[in-house]
Amino acid sequence: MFSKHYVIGNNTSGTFVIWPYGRCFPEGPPGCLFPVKGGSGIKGFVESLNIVAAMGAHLARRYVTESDTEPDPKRKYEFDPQFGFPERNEREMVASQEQMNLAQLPLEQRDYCAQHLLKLMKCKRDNWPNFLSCQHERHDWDSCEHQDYVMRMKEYERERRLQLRKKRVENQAEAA
Amino acid sequence: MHPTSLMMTSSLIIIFALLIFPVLSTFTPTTKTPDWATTHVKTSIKLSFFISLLPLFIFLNEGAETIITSWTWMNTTCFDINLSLKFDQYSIIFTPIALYVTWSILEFASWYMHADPNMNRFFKYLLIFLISMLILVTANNMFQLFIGWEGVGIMSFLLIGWWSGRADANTAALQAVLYNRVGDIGLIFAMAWMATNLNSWEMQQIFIASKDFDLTFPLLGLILAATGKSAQFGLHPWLPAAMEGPTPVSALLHSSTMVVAGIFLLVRMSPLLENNQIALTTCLCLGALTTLFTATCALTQNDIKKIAAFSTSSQLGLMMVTIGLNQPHLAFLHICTHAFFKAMLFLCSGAIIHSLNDEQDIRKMGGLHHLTPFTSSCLTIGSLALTGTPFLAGFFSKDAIIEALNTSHLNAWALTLTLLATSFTAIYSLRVVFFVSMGHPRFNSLSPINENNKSLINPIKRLAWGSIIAGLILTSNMLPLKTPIMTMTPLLKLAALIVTVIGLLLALELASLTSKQHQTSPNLALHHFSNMLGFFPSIIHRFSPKINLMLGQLIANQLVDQTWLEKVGPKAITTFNLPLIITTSNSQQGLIKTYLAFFLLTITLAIILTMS
Repeated sequence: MFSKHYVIGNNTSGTFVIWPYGRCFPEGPPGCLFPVKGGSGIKGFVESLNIVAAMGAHLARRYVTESDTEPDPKRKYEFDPQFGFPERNEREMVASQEQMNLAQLPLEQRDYCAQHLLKLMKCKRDNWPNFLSCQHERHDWDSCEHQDYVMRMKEYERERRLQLRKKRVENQAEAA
Repeated sequence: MHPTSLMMTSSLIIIFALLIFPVLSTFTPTTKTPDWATTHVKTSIKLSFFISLLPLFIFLNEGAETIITSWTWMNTTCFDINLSLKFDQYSIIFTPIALYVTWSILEFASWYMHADPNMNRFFKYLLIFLISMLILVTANNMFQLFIGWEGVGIMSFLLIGWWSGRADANTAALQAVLYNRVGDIGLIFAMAWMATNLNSWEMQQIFIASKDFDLTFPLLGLILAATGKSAQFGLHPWLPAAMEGPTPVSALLHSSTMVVAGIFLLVRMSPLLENNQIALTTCLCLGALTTLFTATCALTQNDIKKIAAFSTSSQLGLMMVTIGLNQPHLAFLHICTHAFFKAMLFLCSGAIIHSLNDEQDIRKMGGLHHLTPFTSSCLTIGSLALTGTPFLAGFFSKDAIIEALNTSHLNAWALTLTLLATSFTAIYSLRVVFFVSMGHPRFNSLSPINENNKSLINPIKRLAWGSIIAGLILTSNMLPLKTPIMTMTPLLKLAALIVTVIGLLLALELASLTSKQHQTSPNLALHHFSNMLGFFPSIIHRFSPKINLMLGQLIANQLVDQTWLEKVGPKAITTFNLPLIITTSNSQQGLIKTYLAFFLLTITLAIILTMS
């Protein structure tokens, strides 16, 4: 239940680190706006429960308190992805178009984790009728999708904080 | 022809031939032996099931799918209707499941209906239904699908009204036909739209040619068809009424196979649905409303079959919600797992009903865990699977649906309703188990309780195995066609389980109140809405016939006959002329003295004038 697949995940040292409520992963992306401190073991678990109890804060933020600065996930983000970073490389897909065409992957599954899915499909086909095999490939795919989700969450949080910063700067300029 | 497609085509043709042969043999004048049903029909279905495993294994091993266009039926210069069968993931997996469930139900029916003089005809009807269902499922064009669609509707009518001497059964059969007909309007409209705009009824051509069209109207037509067939809110009352039919009919048609035809249609047409937000939102909201409303109605029912019927309707609403989430493969997974445990629930109900001398009221059952241990255990397994107990069949599909709902960027109202309905599912499931299995018997001791019959135990056992392992087998073998979101907070992950446990605890508390003399205060009638099924049948079944009859009276009788053809026409002439006539003749009556007086006066005046 509290395995590393969930947002309240743990890093390699086994400590509980909470995201995105004001903290980053120790190995988070460069340009992380807040310093790192995480709880460990029982303390981290209790802290995570507090966060669980406070769930819904993002909804209050979206619709009530910060409705002007919350970014809309369906629209393109305003800020340049390179802003604040000295160097940032664009993600590259590992699976090629040809490979995905041969496997007849649906359009929604042609993402940055498609190479793991292709390996999983091949493993399933090769190991049938042992339908309980391919756990390792399945985990690889799930883990990649999880990291992709976390990356999307981080990008959203970056956009939100940049919007807040922009509003702060504008208020300071008006006050001056 | 490639060996793989040859094997799959041959298997499909052999399956159809095996199923059609017993039906054709009934057209000969020779009388059938009393055990024709078990020796011919059940055997053909059992054989068809094992043969259908071959294409299934080929598909799982190689991922091979086939589309077989075998006969050009009606072809004009630019519009073709062919006999084409599609053996893709959905039909390859559903066909063995339908055959497995039907095999179990027919074996059960050989015990349940053994005293019926027309058992052979009953089995024939079930077989024709199954053939229609397979035609529907394997159809690659809308015309063939429509044939299967109407076929299952007609067989539903004949089977619900099996005991035609009973007025309630006839009413229920008519109700089923009428409500399904309203849905058929939607399907026919969609077919007409496709024929005129896309110039084809073949599914591949429809998917390709519809890219630049606004598909809102035909999709709403398809949703109306699914609403009628799959008992969504508004066209749902026929499903609980259909429980008038024999229990094997309820188990096969009205839980596992026929009622999922509407959802199956939407799953087939999902490439059209996925880009149309209006249709998806309609499905989501309609499904959410259905699942909660019917779960509410199930809470206060006392007939064991009606509870299962409303439960079926609630699960169909959940499938519709899944379609609205743009996850058709999850809806299909739920169709497959639901078939097992719902059919088993009905078979257990039938066994209990027969054992208690045709008693269907759960308030008059009880203590059956000691008297029919196997049946009540399987009832419990089925109820647990229905509520989504971890690692039973229902868990894999239901939990996946609720997780998809929790992690999707959609309206929270539908989510709330669905979670509430999940809780209600736990409540009424526990209520059934509590009243039927637990406690002390509330029936006479002279009941023919005997579950020690092979024809009874074996089908329930097979379906119990399916209810336990089908979910695992299906999810392990089928890769998801849309990437599931596995990242969520523990509260979201456990939401379904938490609401189910809350529902179970609430139900346990409420059910235990029945054994205490406890007067609730204040004495509110909160259960009336649920017990009267939301007042939906009371209002709709009286309102629209009354309006029609009143309009009939008003327009046909009063407006046309009485007003235009009588009062304004011929009778108006009379009406206007009669007062004039009467006045004229009245004014000339009783005047004889006046006439005489005038006469005398005139004579006198004349005499006076001549004399002067």
